[in-house]
Amino acid sequence: MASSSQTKCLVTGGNGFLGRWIVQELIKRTDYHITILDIFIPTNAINTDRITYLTGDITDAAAVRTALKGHHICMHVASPPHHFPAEKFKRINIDGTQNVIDACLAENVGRLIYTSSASVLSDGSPLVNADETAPIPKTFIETYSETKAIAEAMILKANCDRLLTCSLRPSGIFGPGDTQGTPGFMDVLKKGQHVLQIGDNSGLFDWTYVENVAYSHILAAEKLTPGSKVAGQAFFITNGTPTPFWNHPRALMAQKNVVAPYLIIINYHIALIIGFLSEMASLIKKALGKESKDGFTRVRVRYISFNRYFNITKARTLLGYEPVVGYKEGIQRTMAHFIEQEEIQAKKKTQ
Amino acid sequence: MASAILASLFHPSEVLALVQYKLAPKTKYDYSNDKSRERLYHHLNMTSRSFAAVIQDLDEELKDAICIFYLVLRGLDTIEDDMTLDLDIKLPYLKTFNEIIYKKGWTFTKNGPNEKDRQLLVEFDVVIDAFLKLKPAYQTIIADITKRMGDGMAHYATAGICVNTIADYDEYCHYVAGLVGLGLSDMFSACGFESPMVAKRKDLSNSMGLFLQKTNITRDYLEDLRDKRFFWPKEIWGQYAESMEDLVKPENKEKALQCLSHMVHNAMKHMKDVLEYLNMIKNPSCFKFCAIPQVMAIATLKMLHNNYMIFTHENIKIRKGETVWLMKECTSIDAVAAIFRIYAREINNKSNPLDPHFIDIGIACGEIEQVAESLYPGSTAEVARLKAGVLAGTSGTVLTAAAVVAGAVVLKNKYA
Repeated sequence: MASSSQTKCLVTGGNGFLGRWIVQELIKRTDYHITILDIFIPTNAINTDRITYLTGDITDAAAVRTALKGHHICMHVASPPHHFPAEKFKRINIDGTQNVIDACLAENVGRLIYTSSASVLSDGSPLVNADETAPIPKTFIETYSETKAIAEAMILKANCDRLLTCSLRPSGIFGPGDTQGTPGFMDVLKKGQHVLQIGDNSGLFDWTYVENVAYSHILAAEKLTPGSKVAGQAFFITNGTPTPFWNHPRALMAQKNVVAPYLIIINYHIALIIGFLSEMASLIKKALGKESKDGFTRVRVRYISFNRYFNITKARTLLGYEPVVGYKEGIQRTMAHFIEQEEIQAKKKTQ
Repeated sequence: MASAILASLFHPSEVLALVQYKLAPKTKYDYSNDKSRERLYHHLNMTSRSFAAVIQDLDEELKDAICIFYLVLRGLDTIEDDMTLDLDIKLPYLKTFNEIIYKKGWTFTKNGPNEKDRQLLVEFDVVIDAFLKLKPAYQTIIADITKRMGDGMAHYATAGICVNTIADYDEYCHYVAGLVGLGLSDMFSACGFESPMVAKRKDLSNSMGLFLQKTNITRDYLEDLRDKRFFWPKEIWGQYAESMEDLVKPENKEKALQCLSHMVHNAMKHMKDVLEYLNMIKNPSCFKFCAIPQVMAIATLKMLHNNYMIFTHENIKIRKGETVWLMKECTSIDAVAAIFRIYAREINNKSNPLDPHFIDIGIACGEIEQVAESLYPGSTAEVARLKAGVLAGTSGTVLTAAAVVAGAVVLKNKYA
């Protein structure tokens, strides 16, 4: 159990991909007592002297308030995955965040760190060396980004003497335990689609190794002190080494010793036309009452062809942030994990 | 000319550049009213293939000074390079060459008969006469760099060239190329064409030389191997082979290519400095003089990357058409930054994902793009313009070819 003098930190979504890494970093770099609040807690999770597990839904205001009682810091990490329907994003990202803010104020939590996203700037236009002075766009390419931007604005607005807040905007998180990006690229490989490339690979993309993102949360917690310049601010968090977009999946596959035997390069403009046709087909399907996923859209074509990279000078100067794991090392560690997982899966099958 | 056009057949913008280059009125440099100057430039043309043209296009104020600077260093190099000279004969000349250039009438005839630039030293009094007529400020700069380079050469001639670490590699390149950059920067600032800052940023001047030298050292692997000269640092090749000679063996092909991309990556690190240096240069003739060798280097580096020919063929070069195209286009910092970006992308796309430096080269390319976007934002429009030029050239050629075919068909039908 936590002693009365110990700093107590609650992590919403602490059982998710990033959440688990944040908990690990908290254990490694601080002496805080950690409460993990998550909608899903594995049944075999056992409380330790550092960690308390709590099952709870952040859309439930009363539950959030009860959970935050007695805590000094809240890291609000919980957010639904990209494939969730739009109304879920609104419920979890906006209403959930309001619940967290209200509970922090009611329970005198003191410090609130929000895990935002670099996509709060995603209106479909290129992002070149974008920094925190860039205005939040009026329209967004997807509900996810829009709800993250609204929630972030709420968090920053809530900053006051009683509750110090800040927001972190990571871009392209990847790492061991990744449930979206890396497995997505592995699926592409399985389907043999890794020979496809859209555009000339001139757009740069910022990928960020998960441990660096987790580390930035610890820095933010420590720098959120009365009078600090961090309070009420947003920070882009990346590895600081943007690379051409298509390099990333190739680098991941290369760890498995796989390289595309040839490449089919689809011209950017032609890809836009294909995207348009696929959107139309999807609309017709929906009109006919059939289910249809938005697969290949123009928004996606632009997203992977344009520059999308950020300037992290503000995080460097105010948070003292510097990536602790380089991009190349991050790729190696990530794939070592996924290859191991595949081997375990394969063993299970043969047994 | 015809063969150059043929080589550029699939690069129509180069064909265009070649034709423009051929048709453009050539500046004829006539030194016949000044016999000693005529002799001086005769030597320049005899000793340098690439530099003669760019030096002669410089402003009058700097032209003679830089020509003489070049010839003095070439003279020094001709003594150092001559393996028929004994070390104890050679050393005093290397160490005191900075004093020799003040001795009116000095010539040197001890070079072996096969030394290609021996005639320059036989008539070196011409160079000395011209040197003594230069402004004292230029004389001091030339003498200073000559002294430092001569000492460096004496050191390597005595101890042997032993490039073990990457630091050794940088140091060797500093002596043979970085110093030239330092001297040129001193002259640019001394003549008042450029700000005093150009001379002060010695780190950037050094990088200008290092980028060129490292590209050449990487390209000349086979030629240097034949002459038993080893400039690739052991810290690099030691990761891929037991010896420098092993890289050339067919069974080591994969390792050799990995080593090559390590060398390419090492050279690419200077590109950022090169852009920062060129951004300081305001005088148009100085700018072209500095920029042309640099854009040639990035084009060469692109050609070298992941190219096994380095280990099988000597003396590989970029196409003449590409050279002429680059010379035509590199007129501003934005254009040079754009050329760097285009070639960096091509280098990245030539990489093999299985190569250990695949990710590093991608990051280096990202860095060039990032620096260019933030410091030389005009380069983005230049990239589009240069690419549109290439596209227009290609579609123009396709259309012309189609028209020719159509014409032939019509004629055939008419007269058949």
